[in-house]
Amino acid sequence: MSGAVFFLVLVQAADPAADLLKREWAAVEEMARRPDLKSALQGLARSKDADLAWWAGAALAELEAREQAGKAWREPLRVTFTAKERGASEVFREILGFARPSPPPVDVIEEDRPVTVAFKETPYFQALDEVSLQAGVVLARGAGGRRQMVRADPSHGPRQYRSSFAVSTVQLARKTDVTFREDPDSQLHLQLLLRVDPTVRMVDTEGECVIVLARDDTGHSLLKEGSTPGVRIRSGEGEAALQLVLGLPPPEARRISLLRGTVSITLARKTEEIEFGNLGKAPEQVRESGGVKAVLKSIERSGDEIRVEIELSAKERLPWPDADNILLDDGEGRPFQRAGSSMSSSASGATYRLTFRDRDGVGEARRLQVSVVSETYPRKVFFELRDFVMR
Amino acid sequence: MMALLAAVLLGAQEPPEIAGWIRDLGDDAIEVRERATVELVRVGRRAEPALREAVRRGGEAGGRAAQVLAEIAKAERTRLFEAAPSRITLRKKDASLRETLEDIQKQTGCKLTTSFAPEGEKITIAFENTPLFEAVDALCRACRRTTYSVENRREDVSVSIAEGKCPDWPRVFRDQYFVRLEGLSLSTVYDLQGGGASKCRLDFRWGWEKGTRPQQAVLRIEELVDDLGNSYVADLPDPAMRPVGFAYVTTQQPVEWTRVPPAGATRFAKIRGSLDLSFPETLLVFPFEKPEESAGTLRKTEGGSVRLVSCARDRTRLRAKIGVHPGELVGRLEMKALDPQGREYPGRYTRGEAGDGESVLLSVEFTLPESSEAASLQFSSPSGARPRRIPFEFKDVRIR
Repeated sequence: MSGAVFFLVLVQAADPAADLLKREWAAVEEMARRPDLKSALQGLARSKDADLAWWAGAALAELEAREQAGKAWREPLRVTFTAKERGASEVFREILGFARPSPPPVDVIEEDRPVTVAFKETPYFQALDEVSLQAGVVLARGAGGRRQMVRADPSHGPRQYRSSFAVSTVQLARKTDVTFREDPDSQLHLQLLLRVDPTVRMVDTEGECVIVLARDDTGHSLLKEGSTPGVRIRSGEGEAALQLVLGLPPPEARRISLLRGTVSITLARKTEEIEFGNLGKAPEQVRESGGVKAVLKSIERSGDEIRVEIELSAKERLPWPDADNILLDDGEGRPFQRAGSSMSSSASGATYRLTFRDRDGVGEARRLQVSVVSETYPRKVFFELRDFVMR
Repeated sequence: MMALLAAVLLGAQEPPEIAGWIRDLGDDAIEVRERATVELVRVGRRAEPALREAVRRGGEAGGRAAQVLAEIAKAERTRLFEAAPSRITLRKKDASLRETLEDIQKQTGCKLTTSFAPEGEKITIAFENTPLFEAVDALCRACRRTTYSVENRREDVSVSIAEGKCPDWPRVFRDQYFVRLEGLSLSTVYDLQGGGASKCRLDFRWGWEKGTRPQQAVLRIEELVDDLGNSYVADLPDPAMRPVGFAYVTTQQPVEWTRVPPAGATRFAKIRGSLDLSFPETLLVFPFEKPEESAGTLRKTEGGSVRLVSCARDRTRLRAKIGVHPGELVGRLEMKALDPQGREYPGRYTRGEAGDGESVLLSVEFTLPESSEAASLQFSSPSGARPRRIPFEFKDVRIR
């Protein structure tokens, strides 16, 4: 170890506050693996120095997430590979393969432009976004879990790829509304998107977003008193849409120079994978796993459609899965396409009525799989975005 | 004796000034003649017997009386689609809102509903020949804690009074109409690369009193300038002409364009334009007496024709097939069955198909009580187009 490196390690160990302020995210990522620093970080997170409190909070959130996830902790997805002048759909599929061994097909709606990429330990969503920007396409969800490459201008603007999360800009708009009730009201509306690595499962609970700092390039604070950001969790897509309302900057401002905030979501710690086989032979089947009871009430074929009714129940309230977590296949892993679904739930249970449709190449319906989250833990995601251009 | 009685009765119904106005039709002074014409048209049908008598007597006054009769006939046709505006004359001191609303309702026949009637709040108002919407607007502002909304549905209208601050909409009241700017928005969506797309939007709303049935409504902006002198009229799209119809004529219209006023502009100095309405000129009526015995009968007017091809009754259902010419009448055709007591039973289309040439064959159906006889069927369609313009000008509308 050289003298300089040895000195740096000593400084880091001795003064986490200085280290956080100097190395920011790099320090956060290192301290997240240091349970011995937990009490120090708790103290720093209450600091009157807002910058220090922010960075210590970010490190603490990462550290606590590792603790609370326990065995469910998944290292952030990183992508390493290169491609030269290869079709975007092929490159997309290769990236999707880092999240699951048999990635879904990527349908090309229009042109399949060639792209050149060199990823080395690149965050999963950063890799996907880079291909999107190069090819001028967005990767949309299609029927039956397939992906569609749709020609569109991908969103530009600041983005952050940290840990297992990506926070990106969807839209920034300046709006003035006059209703003739009060004085004209002008605001900045910012839409952000939080994406969660596919290896981590987000559940449908209420999320919360807090903006702690918003500043333009003239130094004005854009925080708007009394404004609570909206959070819409789309657990099926592993996304949360964030709607922020900020104060209007002065006319000379040209950009939002810094935005800091947190999003609180809920992640799965334990899931129960429930499987029904021999479909059609046993009209009503019951399974129990980890305190979750699942009853397959009926499965009926009508023409090219298969209608399924399932009831889930548990002693305590669980985040009942959405229809994406109920799969019907032919026993060989070839899934039927879901054509419709309805769900009703209460504190103790949920009832699902699903309609699946035949697909070419898929045999008889033989297996129904339901994935239920039985344990969760809270997760606070810190994000920091810079330089939103407003010209 | 009977003639004398009739004359006495007619005389009793005529305003006493009619004879004088008819005399004035022959006056040498043009101002006197014009004033007499206006007054006689305003009196309308009640002046017709005396005017006919003047026509019979001939002379210069007789010629002018014939013109007045034609004007009255035209005005009567107009009233089929555009009822005369309400005029409210009311003085209240320290009255309650509910009591005042009841008085307005009595004078106008307009349905006024309220979900909010603050007890203890006293209102003082004075209306003199005030149009309905102007009176309601003034009343809500006098009450301070109430606002109102207007909903037009076919020829009917309802005004709802609710709790809340009445917005200070830029607004205009003309006879039985109101036009207001209900909201305004300016937005710029940044592309986050140093560009963006802007949009301005003005939301207009209008309404009319009961008995008024335009067949088309479109709002046009003629002048739109901000306080820095920038004009936006050239940026506005042409207002889309909506199809002529009666079932629903829109009462709101957004006006959108893509150039946002610069940061230094704080208001629109002037927004000038008009609400352009179109009314039918006349109502074409195609009656069929004893319809079950009248298959094959053709009813013809200048604007079109309807042939009753077949008609049969099955308990409560009266089903008929009619040929309508020209086919464009179908979109505005209204239909009803009448029983011998004159009770009306509206009908509906069940099927339409192309007929000969420009005609359309329609299957229609009426539902009547089992005991009722269908004495006649009546099909009617408005025809022609008479424009009516409601101008407005709003000044100093704040945008920032």
